[in-house]
Amino acid sequence: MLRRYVIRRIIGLLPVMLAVASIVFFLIHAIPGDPVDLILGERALVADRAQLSQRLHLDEPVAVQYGRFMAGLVRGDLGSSITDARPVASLIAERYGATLLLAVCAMFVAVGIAIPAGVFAAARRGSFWDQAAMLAALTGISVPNFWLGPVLILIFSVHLGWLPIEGRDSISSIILPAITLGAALAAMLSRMTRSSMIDEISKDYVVTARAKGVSERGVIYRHALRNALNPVITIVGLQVGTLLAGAIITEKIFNWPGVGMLLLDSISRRDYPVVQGCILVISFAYVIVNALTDCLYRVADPRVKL
Amino acid sequence: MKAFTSKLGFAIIVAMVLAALFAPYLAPYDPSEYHLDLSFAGPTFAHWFGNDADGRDVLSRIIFGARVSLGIGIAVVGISLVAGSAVGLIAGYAGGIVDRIFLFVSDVFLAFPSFLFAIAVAAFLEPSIANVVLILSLKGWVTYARLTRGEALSMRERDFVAAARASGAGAPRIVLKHLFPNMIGPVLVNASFGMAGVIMIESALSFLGLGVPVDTPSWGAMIDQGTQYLLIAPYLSIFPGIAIMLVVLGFNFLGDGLRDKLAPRGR
Repeated sequence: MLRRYVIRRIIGLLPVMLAVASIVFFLIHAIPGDPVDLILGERALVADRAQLSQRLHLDEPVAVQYGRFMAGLVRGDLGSSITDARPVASLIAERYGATLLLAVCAMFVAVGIAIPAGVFAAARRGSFWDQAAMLAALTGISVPNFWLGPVLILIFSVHLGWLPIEGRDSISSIILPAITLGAALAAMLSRMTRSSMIDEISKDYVVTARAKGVSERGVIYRHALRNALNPVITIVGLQVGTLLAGAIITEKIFNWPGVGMLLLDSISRRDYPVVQGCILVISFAYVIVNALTDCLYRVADPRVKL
Repeated sequence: MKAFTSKLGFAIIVAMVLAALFAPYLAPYDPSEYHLDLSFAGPTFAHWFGNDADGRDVLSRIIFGARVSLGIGIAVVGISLVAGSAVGLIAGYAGGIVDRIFLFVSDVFLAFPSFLFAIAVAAFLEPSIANVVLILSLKGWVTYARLTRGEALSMRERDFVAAARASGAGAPRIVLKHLFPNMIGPVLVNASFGMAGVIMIESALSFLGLGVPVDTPSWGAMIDQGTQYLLIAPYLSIFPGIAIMLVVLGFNFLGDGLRDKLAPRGR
């Protein structure tokens, strides 16, 4: 049953990914004007224009270009960069590790803050601390990470001098970027954890556990929390894409050499093959992680209808 | 607590809307007037929030920035809400193949994280306010469409719709007079959170230089310019950031309060 579901889910991904790839391909053709003008400027030499147009295969009919793009994609070939002629796939592969590291660390920050905070608030529902925690969480959701980042730099790098301002030179370099990226997610997850815990605490099995004399601590941690975490896991999975997209900003603030920086640099250099490649890779990662989350959720909670 | 925060949210929004409407009267200075002699002058009584690299008054730019943020927010949420609800109602009420096509198209849009999608389109367009509205509406409609489709689907077979149908009402009448009024609550809740989201993404795009044109007083762009001078003039980034935080918080508070009142199922 489960295996069949997983297979069906994977097959269901293919048309979506195909459509995503098509959108990314057509973006460059949907814009008004000639892409060559956009890249070289309107006053470029005719010979340069012709050469670029040929290199990007823009002189061919769109249908042929589309076929070439898709065929390349299947082979893992994303074309090559206009500025330095290197394959887009290897440019992205070089940077992917840094982005992944950042996203994973941000996730640890978020989960590390959110689950204790959510459980704490739920266990003291309605108390001052509960309200304070949830007010802090709602505020946290509203803080833009492109503001939080510079503020953290000001406090911890400039004034206190504890952490590096930018770059990726030592282990401590990851701390501020991870907090910047993870803070909003922490806020969101703690709200989720709290409401999920409150739902669980009011269920019959918890009442039973209490009635048979299980300590409050045991009720919370051994019984309610385990079940309350299921919906939280789903949100964590769904937020991976948001993290990958949010990483673009965080990477810019901290000069972190990931895919986001590559994307922004390529946008300013108008290196469109690289731009397309980055967008494609990030959205594919998002789609796949979402599907995996869905499958995991079903493994974790067999009651969910397949 | 909820009653208090949603009132607070509402108050913040009203204040911001008033600031945007009466910006020329409230702003102490012309937001784009250069005073090179005041370059990087910190906060003083004459210039509460200080002056930027070109000596422009930061407070005045923040007040005018409310026009950009709220204007874009209202335009995007308005377009997305109308277009999305129309599509969602049609898909949900028609069902069958129309609904299946709709589901696939919306799945594709949802396969992009919102912010990434905005960057992807912005990368190929010139920075302008109209383009920002276009970019954000291009994906914004999907949320409202999914929501109204789901509501329409669940209401389609209910008695009051059957009664309307039996009394001879046509599909457009049923959809507009009977279905839509019954889902205004959840739609409004979404619109409130939507305003928060749109303002956040617009600021983020402008922070990356992909949103509004340079020199437009936009909070996101102001933070970006400020971070270049973080060491000598930190207030340049701090104040616009607080403005974004307040308005986003306002809409989140309001949305939270509205949800408890209007759409208790979605909690």
